[in-house]
Amino acid sequence: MLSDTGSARRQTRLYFLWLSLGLFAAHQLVELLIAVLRHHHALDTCYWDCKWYAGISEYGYSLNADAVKHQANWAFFPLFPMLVLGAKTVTTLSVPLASVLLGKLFFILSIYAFIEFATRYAEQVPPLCAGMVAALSPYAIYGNTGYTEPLFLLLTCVFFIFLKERNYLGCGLVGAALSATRVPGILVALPYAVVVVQLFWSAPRDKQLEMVLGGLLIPLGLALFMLHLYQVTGDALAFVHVQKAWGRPPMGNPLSVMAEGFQRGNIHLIWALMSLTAVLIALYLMFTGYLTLGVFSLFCTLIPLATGLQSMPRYIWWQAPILLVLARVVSRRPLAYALMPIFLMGLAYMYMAWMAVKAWVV
Amino acid sequence: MGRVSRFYALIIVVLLALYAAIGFYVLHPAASVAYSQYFLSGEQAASTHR
Repeated sequence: MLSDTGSARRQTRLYFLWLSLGLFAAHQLVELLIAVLRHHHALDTCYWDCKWYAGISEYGYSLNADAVKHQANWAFFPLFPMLVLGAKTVTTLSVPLASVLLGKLFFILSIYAFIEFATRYAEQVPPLCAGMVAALSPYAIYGNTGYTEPLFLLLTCVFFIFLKERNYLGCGLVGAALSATRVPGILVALPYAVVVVQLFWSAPRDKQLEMVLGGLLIPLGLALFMLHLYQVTGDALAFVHVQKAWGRPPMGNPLSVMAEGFQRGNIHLIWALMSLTAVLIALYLMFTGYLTLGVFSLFCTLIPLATGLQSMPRYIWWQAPILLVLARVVSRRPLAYALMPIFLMGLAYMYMAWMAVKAWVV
Repeated sequence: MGRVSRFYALIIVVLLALYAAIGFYVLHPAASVAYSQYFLSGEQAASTHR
């Protein structure tokens, strides 16, 4: 009986893996098609943040900010560039190419992890719908551009799977990696606290120790990054302070930022609408029995929003809980038929914009 | 207390000590002084960006 269950589980995993590979291949075809149409090399997609990450992999964190724009690579977290450095050392590829290829590898893994996550948190979502949302939504473009988003989605999905299984040490270790991946990574401490607070006093002593240790491990990645920044620049919070060089205040009012986006119109209006949708989805999750997912998404949206609208799509459409709600919407057949062609056209349009080096797609 | 629990307790103490050290020494206001040598004030940087 047990062996039958194990075998069925293996079969399911194998199906998820092939599904992930198939959807990843479909995404690559869209990219390749646009690249051929635009006479662009398909692997030459390392622009903007990818170049910052590549710079960190090659030269480490800089001592000084740029003399003209006052920008510095302190804003970019270290885990992805460290892994790129490892990949470059093993393969002898150039750093930008290693960044793009490693990003693609994490993209495949993140599609697989998201399917596993979605089927655990919402059993009614078909794996195909979950995979399609992760692999083919317009902002899935960042899975192919040497950005840190696929690694973030992968780690977030693994974290929430561990949290559901009450694997506190696993949560702590993955949380430590997340807090070294992107600014919102540290926010997994919130859903962790939500679970631990409810179960701590009724748990046996050994389990309580595990809970505390897991929670204390989560900020470790960020703490080590801060120590390194302190050593290099003299300011452990340089990653926050340097945001000003991109025209972002350290902390504004998210509501004012959204209101300003509505007033300015054009692309700012779209970003503001996306941010409002993300906040509403987070609240919906919180009040429909998904408190852990909702709390994470709410803060994961509001904190980047407090610094401006520019990069909000990347912060929103790579959040596992938001994608989960989208997968639930898409799993209703009539909507799926309407949304998926729009997604594919959106993805193709994003690639055209990316290859034309349009600044709004950053 | 088992061997594993004692190991967990040790790691907890080490992590608490690390975070306390960061809080008291690295995030101390004086620690940011060196930083001002490298970077302009927010207003100057933002106006340059614009």
